[in-house]
Amino acid sequence: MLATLRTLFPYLLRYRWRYAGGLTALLFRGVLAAGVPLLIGRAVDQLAAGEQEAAVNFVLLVLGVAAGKGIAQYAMRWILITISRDIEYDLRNHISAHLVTLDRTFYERYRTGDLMARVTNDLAQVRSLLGPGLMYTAEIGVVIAAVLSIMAWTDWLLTLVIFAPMPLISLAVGHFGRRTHEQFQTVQKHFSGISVRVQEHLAGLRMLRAYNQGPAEVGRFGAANADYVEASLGLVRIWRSFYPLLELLVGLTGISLLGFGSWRVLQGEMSVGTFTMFIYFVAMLAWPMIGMGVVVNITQRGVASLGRLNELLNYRPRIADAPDALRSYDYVRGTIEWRAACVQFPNASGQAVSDVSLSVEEGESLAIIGPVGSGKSTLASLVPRLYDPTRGEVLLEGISVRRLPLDVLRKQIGYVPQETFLFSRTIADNIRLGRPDASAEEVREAAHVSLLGTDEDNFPDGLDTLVGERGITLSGGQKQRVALARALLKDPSVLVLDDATASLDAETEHALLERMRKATRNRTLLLVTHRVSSARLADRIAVMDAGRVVDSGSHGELLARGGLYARIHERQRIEEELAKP
Amino acid sequence: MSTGRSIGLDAARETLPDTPLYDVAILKRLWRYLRPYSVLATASLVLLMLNSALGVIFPVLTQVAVDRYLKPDPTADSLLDPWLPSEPMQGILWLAGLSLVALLLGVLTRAGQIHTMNWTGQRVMRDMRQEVFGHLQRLPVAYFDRTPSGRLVTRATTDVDVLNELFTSGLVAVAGDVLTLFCAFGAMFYLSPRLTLVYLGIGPLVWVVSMIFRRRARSSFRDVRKAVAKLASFLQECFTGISEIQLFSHEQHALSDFEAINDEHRRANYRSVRAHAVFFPVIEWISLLGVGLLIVFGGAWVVAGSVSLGVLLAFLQYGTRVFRPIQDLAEKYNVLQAAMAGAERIFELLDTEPDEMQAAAGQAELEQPSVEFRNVWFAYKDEDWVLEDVSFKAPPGGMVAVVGHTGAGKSTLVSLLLRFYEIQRGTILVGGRDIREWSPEALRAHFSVVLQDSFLFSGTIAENIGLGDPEVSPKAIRGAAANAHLADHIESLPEAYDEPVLERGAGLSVGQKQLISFARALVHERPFLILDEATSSVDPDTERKIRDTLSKLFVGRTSIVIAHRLSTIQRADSIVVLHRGRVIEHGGHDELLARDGVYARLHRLQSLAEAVPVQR
Repeated sequence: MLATLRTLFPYLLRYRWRYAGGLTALLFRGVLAAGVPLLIGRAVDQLAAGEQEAAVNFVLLVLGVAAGKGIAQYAMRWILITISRDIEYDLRNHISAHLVTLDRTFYERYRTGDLMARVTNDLAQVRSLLGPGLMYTAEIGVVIAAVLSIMAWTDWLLTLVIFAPMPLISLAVGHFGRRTHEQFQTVQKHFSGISVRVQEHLAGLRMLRAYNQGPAEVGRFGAANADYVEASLGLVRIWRSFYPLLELLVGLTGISLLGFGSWRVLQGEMSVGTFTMFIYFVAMLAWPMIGMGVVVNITQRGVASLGRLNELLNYRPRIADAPDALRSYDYVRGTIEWRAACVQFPNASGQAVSDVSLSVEEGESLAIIGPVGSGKSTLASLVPRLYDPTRGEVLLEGISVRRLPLDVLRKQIGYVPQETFLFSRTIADNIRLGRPDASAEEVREAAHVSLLGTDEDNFPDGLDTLVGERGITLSGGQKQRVALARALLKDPSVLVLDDATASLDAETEHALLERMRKATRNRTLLLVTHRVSSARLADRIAVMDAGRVVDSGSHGELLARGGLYARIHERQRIEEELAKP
Repeated sequence: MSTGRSIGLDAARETLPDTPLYDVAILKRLWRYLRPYSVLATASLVLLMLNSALGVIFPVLTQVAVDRYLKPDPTADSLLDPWLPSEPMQGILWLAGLSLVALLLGVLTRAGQIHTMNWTGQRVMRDMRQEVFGHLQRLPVAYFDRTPSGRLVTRATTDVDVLNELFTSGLVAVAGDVLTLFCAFGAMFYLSPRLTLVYLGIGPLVWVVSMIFRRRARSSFRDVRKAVAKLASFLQECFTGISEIQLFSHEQHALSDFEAINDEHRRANYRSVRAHAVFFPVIEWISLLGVGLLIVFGGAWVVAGSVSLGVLLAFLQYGTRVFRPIQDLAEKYNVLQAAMAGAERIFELLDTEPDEMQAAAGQAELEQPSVEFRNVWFAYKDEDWVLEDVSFKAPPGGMVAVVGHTGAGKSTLVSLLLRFYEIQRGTILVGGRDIREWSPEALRAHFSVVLQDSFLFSGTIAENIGLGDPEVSPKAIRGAAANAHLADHIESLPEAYDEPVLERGAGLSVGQKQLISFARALVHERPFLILDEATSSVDPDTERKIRDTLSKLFVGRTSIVIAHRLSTIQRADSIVVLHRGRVIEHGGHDELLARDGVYARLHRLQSLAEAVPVQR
């Protein structure tokens, strides 16, 4: 547990003075709060003696002390809880800053929903640990110490008798806290169970409807639902014993006070006022005793959540600046070379890319073509270091890409994926992603080359149209053109189009590629495509199959050789024929 | 008591911050879910009342102890007097015994109340989840096209759970608090009406402070909600678009935007912290003011002899007790509001009109397995026609191959035949009858279906093939698996046919998943086969297995196939060439070849392509 908590130490240290202030306030509050019953007890004694005016003075004193207690309590809550909010803020920034450095393998392993749950819900649990958790722990300690010492000093024998059940309470809290924790895990598991059921149902909706699986699915959901209810009731069974048991033990302290305290009064060893004071103290101690359970709960959840956050924080990016990165570089030219590059994905049987050696000159254009799963995309994604090769290397201007600082490398590469993501901003802001300072003129120019914002697009506010959740939805082709404009605006030395125009029809694609080529004449172009019609625009074509480059050359040469390329070409001619009316 | 699940992100993002706290219509509707368990719910309420009543007994017993034994006051009398012994120590033991009985009863009623309340709550939640899921079955496919699946998952899970808090922590706790207040004031009034009035003097002050707090808490709660929603949106975008952010070196910008939103969230929480930090000390001070009033006025009466010291002592105890429920009520505010918002969203889903097609349920006999599309027009939206005037026929036992480019409307054809959507114009006939004469279930029961994306759910392999249909015997499943060339693979698994399939079929290859869906179609012996051929490439060995299984599938079934393989197309009795939602050619293989149109061109090219040697 301590190892898990280590993440928090720097933050606790950063806010140490405020913590000191908050804890001082807490100490004042505890002592003043313990003073109140003392004064009320004295007031009652005055009344019992018939001294009404003296009692009134005590009342004024009570209200004064209570006011002081109130102020201390305000300071305590304000300081201690806001610190927890500040740490939450710091931690969230820290985690986010770490997350943006992590590579694809991380994001393939942790789904968006999972990450969001961690950065929000889990962090909230950690926040509870740092705020209310810490505050209650200290408060319980101070109140118990203050009250017990006053009581023991007044009448140690009575105190001993009254609080005999106290160790039992902490035992019960410990025992049931553990059981609650265990059962809670089971509940969580079954909760995911019902989520998965619904998700699966929605994913296979058409299939399930086609086979009339409605009633069977309701039955399956019912089973998961029943499991969840059963697990939740298991939790209820624990509470059903725990809470009444706590009430019993706390109640026993009251009863032993009534019995034993009255006996002391009858013997003349204690005044009615002191008896009253004890009644107040017993009431005051009820919360700290029950509160221990709450604290145990907060702590367990907080530590479990912190563990889940540590998992993210301890994840080291595999693709990051090398220690020997060449920091003096701020520009690289577009000569690319793959040298015996191999890529083996975890859990995959074969290599996605095996032993590829290939080079592209600055300003040259190379198309990579091949069937689905042939490794063409993977090969291209090695250039901007979306992945690193398992063996072999990729060089830019003769330097291994691993030795170039990541931001320098990526600045020089305009990578356009097949599926792009647009942020809920304006189209222009989306184009500006890589260069937020680009002028409106430059943005227009990039959009113009990408055939974006033509009359056909019909954007209500031109390039200032909002897209995404609060704006309009773009078609696949429009999205791809935004992505292209985005890459062009960077004016990179290497442009990588990873099947980036697949959603456009062949004619538009052809026009777009020609136009783009004209605008980026002296830049290196990597064109990953499954269409022969696009590939033939490139200076040279590499044909990939099962992770290897099986052939390369110009369109004419490849056709003449009659290999895989020729077969792909034929199949596409058939498709084109079909597309013609 | 709750399982302590916080409000889901999706829910947070959708919450309308202005859901009223007490919407009578929603509460009434929730009441209906409680009705089947009214006996238990009533029991829970009775136990709660008993518990509250037992909880206020102790101060009365201390009053008796003080007035009768500790500081005897002849003017004070109590109901217990006739039974109490006069010897002080004996009397005290009597009283301690009584309070022990009250405590034990209180503990038992509490245990019973926790049990009955949660049992009821869990059952109600189970019913509600079941109803939500059942309702999903009745909604048209079009509904799922426009509703994000994450949102629907939230309805059946998190929203219902938040509602659980309404039952357990919310309503019941509020009822408990109110009952405790009533019992305490009842006991106070019984002991001394005069002192009760004095104590009630602080009432207006409590009311004003609570109102101010309520307003503050509400507005800060709303701000926090908004901030959480913003935070969630931003994070979701960042995580989804992480590649773009990294490739375009946008990290620093994104982080500084994030810090601003994060700070907004922090500040909204500050306001909530302040509201609470002020409220609690103030309300506690007021409670002591009440105690002060009791000592000043009550003390004067004690000295004057008109109120006994024991009564004053009992009041001093009540004075602190009644404030606990008041503080609790203030804390419950957020829980209640979140629960109401959850209920509103669930009811909104349940109020979504179910599939109208169900209403037209009829039972028509299937006389002969033929299919005909007669001048069918269909659009998903308005008049954006996806299919225009489509007509074709498949005779009993025959096979129609539909060919065409992506987006030509081929998959839509299949969806319409299965009645996932209603057509706008024309008729679809099955066995010579309009498909609308069947209920969708009765219609679909005639079809075996293989869709492009072979869907597997978590369960065993046998369940995935037999779909849990009792009429499908294990033997039939094994036979189908053997016919689909799966038997060897399945039998090599540790648990063979009972081997669990992971979520979405993880652990199986694309080809194996396809073969499993073929086996599923084989084992369900139905007159029609709908096949949407997958385009994903598989290794040659699997390809051979697929082709072989396909040929078995076509035997004895009327088939409608969206074809991508030439071998499949050539097998068809008739071919429908679809282009942009229109049938541009339709007829038999020879007929179409003779016409020398698109299909003829296609055929020539295909033959040419097959002649190209394959290098593997």
